[in-house]
Amino acid sequence: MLLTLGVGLAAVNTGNNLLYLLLGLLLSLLLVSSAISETTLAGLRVERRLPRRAFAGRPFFVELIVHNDKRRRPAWALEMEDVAADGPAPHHAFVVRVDARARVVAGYHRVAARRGWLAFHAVRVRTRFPFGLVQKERVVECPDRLLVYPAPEPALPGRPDEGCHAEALEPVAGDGRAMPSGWLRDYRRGDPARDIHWRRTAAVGHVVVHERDRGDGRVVTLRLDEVRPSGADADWDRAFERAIARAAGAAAELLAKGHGVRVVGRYTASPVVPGGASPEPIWRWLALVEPVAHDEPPAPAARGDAQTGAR
Amino acid sequence: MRFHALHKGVTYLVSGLGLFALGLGGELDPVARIALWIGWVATWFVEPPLVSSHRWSRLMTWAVLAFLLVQVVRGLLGAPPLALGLEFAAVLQLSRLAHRRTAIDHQQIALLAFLHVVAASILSVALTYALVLLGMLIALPWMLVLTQLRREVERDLAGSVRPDADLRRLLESRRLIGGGLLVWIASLAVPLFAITSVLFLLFPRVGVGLVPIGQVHGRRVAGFGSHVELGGFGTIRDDPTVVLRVRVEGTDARRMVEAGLRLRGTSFDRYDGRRWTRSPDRAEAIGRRGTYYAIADRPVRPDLAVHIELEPLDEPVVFLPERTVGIEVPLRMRAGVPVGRRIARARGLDVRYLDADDRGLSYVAWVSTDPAFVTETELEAHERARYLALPDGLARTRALATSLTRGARTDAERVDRLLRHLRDSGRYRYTLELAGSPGRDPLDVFLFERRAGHCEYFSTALAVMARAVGVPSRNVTGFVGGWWNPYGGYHAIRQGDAHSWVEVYLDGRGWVTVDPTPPGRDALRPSESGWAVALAAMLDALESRWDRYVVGFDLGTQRTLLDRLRELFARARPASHRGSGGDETGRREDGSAGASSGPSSSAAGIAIALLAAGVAIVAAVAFGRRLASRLRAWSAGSQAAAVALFRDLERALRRHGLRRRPDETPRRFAERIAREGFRGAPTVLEVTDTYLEARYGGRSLSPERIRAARARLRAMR
Repeated sequence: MLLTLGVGLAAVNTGNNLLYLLLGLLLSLLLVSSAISETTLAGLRVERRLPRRAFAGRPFFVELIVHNDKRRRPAWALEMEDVAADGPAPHHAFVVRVDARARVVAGYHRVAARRGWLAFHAVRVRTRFPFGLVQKERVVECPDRLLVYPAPEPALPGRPDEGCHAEALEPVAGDGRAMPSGWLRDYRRGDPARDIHWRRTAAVGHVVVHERDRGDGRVVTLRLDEVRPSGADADWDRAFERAIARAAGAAAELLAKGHGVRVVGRYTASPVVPGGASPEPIWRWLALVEPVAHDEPPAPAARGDAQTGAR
Repeated sequence: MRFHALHKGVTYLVSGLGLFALGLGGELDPVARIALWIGWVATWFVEPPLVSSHRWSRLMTWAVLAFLLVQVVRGLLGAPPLALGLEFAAVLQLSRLAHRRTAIDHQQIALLAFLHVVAASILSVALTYALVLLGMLIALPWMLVLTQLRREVERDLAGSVRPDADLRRLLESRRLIGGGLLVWIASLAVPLFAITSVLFLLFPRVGVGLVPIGQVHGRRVAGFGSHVELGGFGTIRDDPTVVLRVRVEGTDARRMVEAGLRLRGTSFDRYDGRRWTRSPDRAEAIGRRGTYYAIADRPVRPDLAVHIELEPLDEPVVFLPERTVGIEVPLRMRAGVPVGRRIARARGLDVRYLDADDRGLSYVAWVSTDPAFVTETELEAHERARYLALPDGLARTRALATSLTRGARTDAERVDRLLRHLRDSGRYRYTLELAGSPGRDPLDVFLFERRAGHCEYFSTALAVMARAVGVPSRNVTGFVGGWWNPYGGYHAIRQGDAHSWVEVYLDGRGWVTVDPTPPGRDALRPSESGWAVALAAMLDALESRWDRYVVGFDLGTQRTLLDRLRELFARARPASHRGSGGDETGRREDGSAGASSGPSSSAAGIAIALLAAGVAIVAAVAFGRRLASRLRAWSAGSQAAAVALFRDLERALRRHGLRRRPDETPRRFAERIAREGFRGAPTVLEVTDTYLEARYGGRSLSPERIRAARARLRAMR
């Protein structure tokens, strides 16, 4: 741009036709660049593939699949910025070339700042192709959402934590390690990979897992106080988030040991997860639980969402 | 081709064009130029790991700074600053080339190359510049695309675990850039050229002139300065450089040019025995009426127009054909204002333009066809003495002149006798091969010993001998001859056509041209045949057009163009929408035919021709595709015919908005069309079955069946 301006000024000053010619060349480069960038972005579709799990504060990988529906022309140098509710990601996905009638998978790492639903609105596809003089952008709407779990932290049950805490109310006896029962069942979402019975899976053609011993039915209840006292400040919020993270960690640890686990709040509670099963139902509940004001129970809809929340 | 190799090649192409442009104006001396190109080639071999080393990077920086210091010192010692600046710009580019590590370095190389071309626009306006520009038009898009792709890739890989290794792998890839992309980018030169041309025509030519940039360049041609050294002129006889282009209209004018056009430059009145000089005289500006400048002493009706394009010469002489009455010089636009040219005339019919620039001069010389007409008729008494003056000595020459003119009664007869002695007697011959005669009178050597010389010797001999017998004379320099350039439609006057002759003053007739050089001169003129001459003629015609339509394009031309466009659109409007200037029959109110003045009708004709050409091209392409498809089918047998048939079917269906999905078989496609209720579904099913039978069923198709299927397809359209 500066160069164009400089050549333009020189041309106007001197009246030198060769400088006018160069000015024309620069401007035509800008125009052609703009037109080609526009056509590069035409006929593109973007599909987003979100990860199965994502934890707050930890990077996760988002796949963006670019389809070039153009019949002849490849698309070049596409930079994709995923527009999500938590602001721009530090990295963008980039594709050098997508052939005509082909698709390319690209991706980028993202870190969700907090737990809960993360809404994805659209993907901004940008290109500076061919000359790098003009940047064109097209917003491809592809709304989606991802439930971001709290990042599980190693927890010490029973340790008080400034007004809210996770604690084991009904600790159980025994070694607590859930053992395979000898029964097999079909795979359910959330089952840990270690429970897959590979030989049987290969034989029957679908994934089957070991049915783990549910223990003696004893359940560890973790208590989480979600009531926000009047006058609580940001420290309380931080402590609340920490407690949730510890509850997530404790639930995972206890379930791995074979204990059934549930988390109970003042007004809502998580589903009870049998020992050895995936902690995802509890993480889901923890991802969605919100502090409520003192003596104000949450709206039923929100409670329901928290109870059954899943992507 | 590997991305890395391709990018490197294109980088060197662009930088080479830039460096070549720097050398266009002739400001860089040959040594600097050779060193520059050696450096350019040497940088080609600088590759990683050397180019990636920080020590090398530092060395490059210090080398550039050291060179800058050297240039400053040279500047202080009096070296020309322009050449110093150009050398530094070139060295800066070489340092970048020796340091091309990342895409940013390549971007800087492209930018510097472009700036070199910008600088060259001030150094030269020759056709070579147009060639550089054309090269840039093709190479610069390649450079920008490859550099941009590399930059994006580098940026993307910056966050990867092994960015260097990943980048190296990508740069060595042969699959990233194919020939198709390069051809496509090269084809962008067409729209770029078109848009550049349109913008070039549209930019208002203001030329504010706030900061003076540029310089006057002239081609050096001896013979028109303050003096002529005897023996220093004829040696350019074989120089084919074109310095003047002459266009004439009409039979008389063409005949005059073909008979041998004589363009008078300047004259010299003082001879000191060795060289001719002009008496110091103040030039007086010639008053103009509009764009016309009167040259003749008295008003005479001009008959012929001779259009002359004069290249910029070191002496801003206005060359005049014989019997020139006056000249017409177009106004020049300055800051959007038309300004008249400053033409001055000194004694001896020395006409010059005083506002010389790097563009030369275009003018029309109005010439009288009256053979008796002479431009200058008066000779005052004090001037007569000046034109009779001779240096001391020259005794043998004087004696020869006296003996030759003994018995002659008039000046005209005396001059005729001298002329016959020099030109027609056969005693003297024309030659360019002259040995030096230091310390001796060159005229004596010519007249009495060598008896051979070039035009300067002959004209000097005649002028001196005429003066010796009392006839006022002056030595004149100019151009004689020329060569018809069929590509440009003009007579090209070359440096080699420079000539020297004599003007003698005859009472009652005025200054009369006399040329004593024998015809042998014509045998030594530059060659006018052969492919090299044809190529040179083509290039000169191109240069002439480049100079006229690009370099010389100004606000006046722009206005004319706009007026023509306006006329074109006015004529294109329906008759009922026209103004009162014409009726439905196309006749004007003044009774003249409404159809057309030249420019607008020709512009309309061009527009219609372009439109027709466009339609014809589209039709030809469509016809060609169909023909090619059929030819392929015919030549490759029935299976290929079936494929061609099915392609035609798909093409026909696309016109109805029906497209086969990538995952859809031909049969499924036909069935879907039938389900959707397309009226031509039976034809589609039938043609599809025919195709499948031939393509996969191994059955051959008879020509009749193919013809029948095609007939149904046509009916379906």
